[in-house]
Amino acid sequence: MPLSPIIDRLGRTLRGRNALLNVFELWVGLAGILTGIVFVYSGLSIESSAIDIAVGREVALAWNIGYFMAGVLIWWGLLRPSPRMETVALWGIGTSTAIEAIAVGAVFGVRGSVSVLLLSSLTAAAWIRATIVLHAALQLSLESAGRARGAPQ
Amino acid sequence: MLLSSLILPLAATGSSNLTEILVILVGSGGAVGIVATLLRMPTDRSASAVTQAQGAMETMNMLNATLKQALADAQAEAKRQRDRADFYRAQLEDITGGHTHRASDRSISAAALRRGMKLHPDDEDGGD
Repeated sequence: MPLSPIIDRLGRTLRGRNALLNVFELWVGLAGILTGIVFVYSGLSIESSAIDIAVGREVALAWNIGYFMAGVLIWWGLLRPSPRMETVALWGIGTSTAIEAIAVGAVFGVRGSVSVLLLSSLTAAAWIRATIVLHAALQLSLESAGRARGAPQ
Repeated sequence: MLLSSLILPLAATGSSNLTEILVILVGSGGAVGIVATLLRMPTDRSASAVTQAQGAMETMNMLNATLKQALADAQAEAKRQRDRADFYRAQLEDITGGHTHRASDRSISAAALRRGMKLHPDDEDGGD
């Protein structure tokens, strides 16, 4: 795929009505992508280490793959644009950060409370955003169907 | 209630079990959200099809309006030409005593001029 359409779409995503939310989403998605890359190169990261200790290596591996995929899907969903994939990614990111919060809480206890709070907030933000995008897309779909049925002949 | 009834007894028994249960619950919640999204949201292809159908519908409506306007214009022009032909036919009938013949608009207006007939207002601005 040539680069210029991607840059064009990125520009539109960053200039649109929900520009700030989109930037935040892209940033969160980038965190997932970077965590996945770090895990592939080093086999360790702060996030997956906590899950490794709290739950197990297999869950940590699955978590890394899921977090990475959610990050990629956020970028894909926003740049394509595909609200469906974006919503799926937001559910995935929210789940990943929630599991991370549980793991950090289990391993570090009170010392990790700030991280737990931040990760929980991120989970809430991702899931709320996913719900809003889902409802908006469904509403748009219903309105489109209504317009198509009620259009003058 | 369901969550607290599950979590509270586990919290009393041990943190590792609680952690695993919480991870499973959160993971299940996320999976439910993903599945619900995939089931409820229209696919990109169907959304695109709806957009294309709307575009086609708008184009069709625009063409419909254009055709209606063109039909109205054509009907108005036909009426104007009928009025013009009736205008000259009536004068020719007066001159020829009721005898009329088929002729083009141009030849009718030329004959009208030769015979001193009145010109139709449409022909007055440089008509022959």
